[in-house]
Amino acid sequence: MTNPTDDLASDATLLTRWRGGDERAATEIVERHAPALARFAASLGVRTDIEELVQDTFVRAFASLEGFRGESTLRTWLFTIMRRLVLDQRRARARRPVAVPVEEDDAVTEFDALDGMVATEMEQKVRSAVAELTPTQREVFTLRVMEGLSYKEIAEVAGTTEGAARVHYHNAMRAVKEFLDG
Amino acid sequence: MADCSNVEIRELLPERAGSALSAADHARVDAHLASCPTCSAELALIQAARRAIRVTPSIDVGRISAAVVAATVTPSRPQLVTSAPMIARAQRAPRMRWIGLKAAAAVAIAAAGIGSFAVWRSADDGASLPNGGSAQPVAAATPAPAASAPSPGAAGSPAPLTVASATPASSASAEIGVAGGLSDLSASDLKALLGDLGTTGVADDAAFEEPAPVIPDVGDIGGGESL
Repeated sequence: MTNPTDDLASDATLLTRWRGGDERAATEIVERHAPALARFAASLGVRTDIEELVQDTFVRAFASLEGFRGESTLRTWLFTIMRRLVLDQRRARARRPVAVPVEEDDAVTEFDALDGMVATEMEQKVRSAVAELTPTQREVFTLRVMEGLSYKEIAEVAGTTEGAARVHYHNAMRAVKEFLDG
Repeated sequence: MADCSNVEIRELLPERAGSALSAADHARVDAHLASCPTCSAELALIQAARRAIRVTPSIDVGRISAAVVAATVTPSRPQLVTSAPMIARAQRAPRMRWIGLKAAAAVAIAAAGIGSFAVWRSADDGASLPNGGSAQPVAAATPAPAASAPSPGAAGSPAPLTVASATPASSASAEIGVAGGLSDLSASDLKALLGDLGTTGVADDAAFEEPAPVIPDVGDIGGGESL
């Protein structure tokens, strides 16, 4: 993980370049944040079309980038957009007669799909423990541990309060520890 | 595993795992970790979780970049250049302007024709009454029907050649009736009549070839000259 201050400076520079007409800056922004967005999508339980979801997130973001005031980090803003897209997709799917709702098991399957990766026994146990978390706990835990977001940023992404984000994180940590101890 | 009571340090463990702490905080946390097995275990758990979750789903970042750039218009490149609908509008504009000019010209021609006819008719009405024997204006207005389709009873009829349908009781038709048809005119009279036609300008086709159009939106093209 790089220093958040450096991230802010780099994102600001890239945005300035893009606003100046440098299309290469857009490419660099995508390369910089796409992997994190893909991981976040997985943590949200998205099973298929993650690449399309990431692309839609960037397209949506760039279309409204003039409205981005830098009050949050670019990555936090991208997470917020992606989360909204996922919720919209789920709502749309729920309205369809043959909807296949995304339940907790979906996320478990997503994490199970990672079993082929080389991992220590500890990592495999942690992965299983994370898969057992509630969707909200998993989302908050991932944003805090993996992406290093602050509670304030997590609250922005998840549309909750800073205090609630803190509680979700500590509940998730406790659940993971209990899973490992059990 | 019980939680450590030092909440401040615990809150910094994710940042410590991500090397996102300042040097001072990093040293402070490490000093605590040296004496706290609980926080050390939690840090190890967080680091394991980072490794476990850090598997990025397979995505083609290059393809995403290309798609995003293609779908995105940079601020310095206005949509006028890249927006297909706007390009279509821009291409359509000159054509629409030319169609507008043609329409304006057609309206101007029609207006000129109607106006000239009205002027002529009023001149005719005014001239025929006092002059009595002058048949020139009427003949000029209706040369073809008068010459080619005389009424069956033309010889004895008082009004076979005139625009009687338009001015059924006018003195002009009566004058024509008295004067007879074009066939009754002499060669010199016909020549004089044709010469007069040229002076009216009404039948001069050349005058309608390139009329100066009346352009409603003169600011767009300028130089428009109304009739």
